[in-house]
Amino acid sequence: MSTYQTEEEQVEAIKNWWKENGKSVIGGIVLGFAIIGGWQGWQGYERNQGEAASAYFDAMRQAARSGQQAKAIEDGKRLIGEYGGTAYASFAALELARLSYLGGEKAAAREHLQWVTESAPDPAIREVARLRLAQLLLDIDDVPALQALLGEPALPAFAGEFAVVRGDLARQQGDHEAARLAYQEALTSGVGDQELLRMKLVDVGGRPSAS
Amino acid sequence: MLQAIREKAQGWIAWAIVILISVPFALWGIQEYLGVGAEPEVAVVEGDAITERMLDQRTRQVRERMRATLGDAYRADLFEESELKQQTLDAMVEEMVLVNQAQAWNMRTSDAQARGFIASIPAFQREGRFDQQVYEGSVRNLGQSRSGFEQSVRQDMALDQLRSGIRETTFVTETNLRTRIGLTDQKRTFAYARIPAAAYRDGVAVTADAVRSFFDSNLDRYRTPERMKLSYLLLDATGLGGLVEVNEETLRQYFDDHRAEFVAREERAMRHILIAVAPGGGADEINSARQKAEALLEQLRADGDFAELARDNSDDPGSAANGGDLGWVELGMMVPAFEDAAFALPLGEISDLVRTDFGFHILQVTDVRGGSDAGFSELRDQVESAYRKFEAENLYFDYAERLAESAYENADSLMPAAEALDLQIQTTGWVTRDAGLPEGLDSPRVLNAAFSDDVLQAGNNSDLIEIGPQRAVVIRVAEYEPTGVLRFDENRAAIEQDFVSFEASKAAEKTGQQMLSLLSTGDKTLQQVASDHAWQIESPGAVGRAGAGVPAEVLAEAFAMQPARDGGAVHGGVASGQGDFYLIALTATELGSMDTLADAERPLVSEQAAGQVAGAQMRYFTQSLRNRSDVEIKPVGD
Repeated sequence: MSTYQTEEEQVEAIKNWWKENGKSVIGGIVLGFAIIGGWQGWQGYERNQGEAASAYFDAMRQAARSGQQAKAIEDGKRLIGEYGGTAYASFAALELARLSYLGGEKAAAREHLQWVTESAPDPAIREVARLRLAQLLLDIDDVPALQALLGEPALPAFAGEFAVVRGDLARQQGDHEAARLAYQEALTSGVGDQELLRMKLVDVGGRPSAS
Repeated sequence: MLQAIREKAQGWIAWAIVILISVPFALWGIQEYLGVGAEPEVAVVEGDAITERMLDQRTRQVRERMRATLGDAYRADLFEESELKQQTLDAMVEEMVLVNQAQAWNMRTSDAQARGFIASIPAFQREGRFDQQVYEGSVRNLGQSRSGFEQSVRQDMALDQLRSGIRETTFVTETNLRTRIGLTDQKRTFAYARIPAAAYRDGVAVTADAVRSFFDSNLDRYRTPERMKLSYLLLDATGLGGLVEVNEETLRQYFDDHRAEFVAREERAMRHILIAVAPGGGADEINSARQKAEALLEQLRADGDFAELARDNSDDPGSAANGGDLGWVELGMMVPAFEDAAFALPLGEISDLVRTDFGFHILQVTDVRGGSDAGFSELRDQVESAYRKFEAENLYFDYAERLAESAYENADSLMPAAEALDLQIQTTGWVTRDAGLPEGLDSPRVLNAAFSDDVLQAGNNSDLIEIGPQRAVVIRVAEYEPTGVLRFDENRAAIEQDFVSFEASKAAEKTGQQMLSLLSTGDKTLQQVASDHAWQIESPGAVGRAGAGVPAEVLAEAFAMQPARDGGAVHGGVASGQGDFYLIALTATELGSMDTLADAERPLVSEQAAGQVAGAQMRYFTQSLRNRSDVEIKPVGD
């Protein structure tokens, strides 16, 4: 690096440098601020979205708990409409499915569950909806749709319960052999309600203790 | 000027500054690598640690909650500590997984929601309304900062939303409910006959060879548990009292310092007459009160009746009617000026005027009790035993430390510790994992230590084990006997009995199997077979799964049997724990349904089913999230 003899020379050199690079420095600073600002704006937007969806969800929960079906449904639909991509929307749709089913509207319940299996932001939530959909399809006896659903792979933690639905379907169709196999499989994978599963297995001619 | 700076900047000052600045940068974050100051961790979930302290704290809370729920039925050893810890840790990990997930899903709680929730907590309210001061004080008392507390509230709220998003949205389909009730509320009609093993005992051929080979092939039944004799040093604060050195001077000192513990406080019964002066009363008022009081005093001194004068003149509404009687009074109960006078006054004498904020009092002490000036010499024995007890407690900690140290340093014998502390080595009788510890030593902690690797395998002294308040013990194994087998010769009679029972129940079962094949041909019914052999037969009718009164094995078998499709009888058999064999004839199976349930039961049943299904689905859901999270469980040291 060369050295400068006088202060004038140094000042001159700095001026030259600024002439060459001044624009890019300012541009860089502006870009930097723009990025920071944009990031903060995004964060704020995210927070607002989350908080608004959260408030809707609480309102819906409150209405459902206190038996105000109509208000709960309205809140839920609005939540799904405005914040469809959030986890809250998925929960709201699950709740709408429940309210619809209890209100005797099984087709509507099916649609809500179907929506969650397609639009929920996470595979675990989708899986919960899929399991409920499977049970609903068994309930309304839509065998082709149920068979298609059961053909898809399940998350390991849900495997046992899907096997139970498979067994239930076979049992409903009178195929005890297939039901036995499915129930045995469920017993191996593990389910929450072992006792009921054992009863089902006995009912189709199995002996759980022997296996 | 710039020139000057540059010239200076090449000297040692510049270097010193550079080094000074770089040191903190170099060391920044180094504790992460060294693990300095880090608490021991039991699990790490996505980079967030659960420390041992957090786990211990939560485990304690769980225990407390169980204690509260179970009440008197609670016993500390009801729940194995390690198991409880494991479960608690599991729950904490799952909670953390859910919290992380809620965050990742942008689940949030607005200020308004958080505020509303906090305001609804009764502990933060005064007279039913939220109170900022009460809130801040309570949070401080919890040892938390406000922002920290609010942060955890938000976290809990998001967690609650997530849980209810899965749990509360669960529904049970009609089909599901029908199947469930059909099976759980199923009733089966069956009869069962008992083939008693006792009837076959006489038929058993007992030969020496047969009994011996029975013994050889059933050695597991004749195992003796492993057992040991323990030698131990017991340290007990009460036992240390004798070691305390006592001399008159220290006892007297102790007595003076703790007088209140030995001597009852003095109480005086008294009566008074009050001539009141209103607070802020002027000089005139005070003077006239004083004159009235002085007149009364004179009357009293001239043999006036205290009670009567008090009744007529005293301004104390509480005592005037009782002749001024105040009852027993102890130091500290009255205003100072009154008290000073009252406790200085000889018994029975009338006091001078006493001025207090209330006005002028005339008082008289009518009786005195307690506060006996019982001196040191009369109480000496009491003082000595109290002193010994007090000092023994101090001594205990010193001894406990020395005992722990000495037992550890000489791990292969108790002798050095016994000598150093002048304790007696004691020995227990045979101790198994289930029983045998002498009273006073009978603690699970002692048992755990006795069977620990360090003590049993390595033959070392145990650590100092606290077994009660100021009671501790060090143990070592004096004698050990591994699990063995009873000697055949010595227990021959008992083994023979077992052999006979075994053979008899085998014979009963054989008969049972023959009868089953006979029954399967349909030539005879169970009733006929039973009456042929004079076997007792029971027909409890349609029985549910709870089946009161039916032997458990029979009930389980009756519900595991495959009902006949044509509605006829099916037969099965099962051996009972007592060795008898049961023949079962199942004649009818009836599924449960909503209609067979009592009205009151119906909503309960569907609610219960929904709860069960919700719980199960929540578990699968949580498990799925956990499966894909980075969870590290560290081995828990003890």
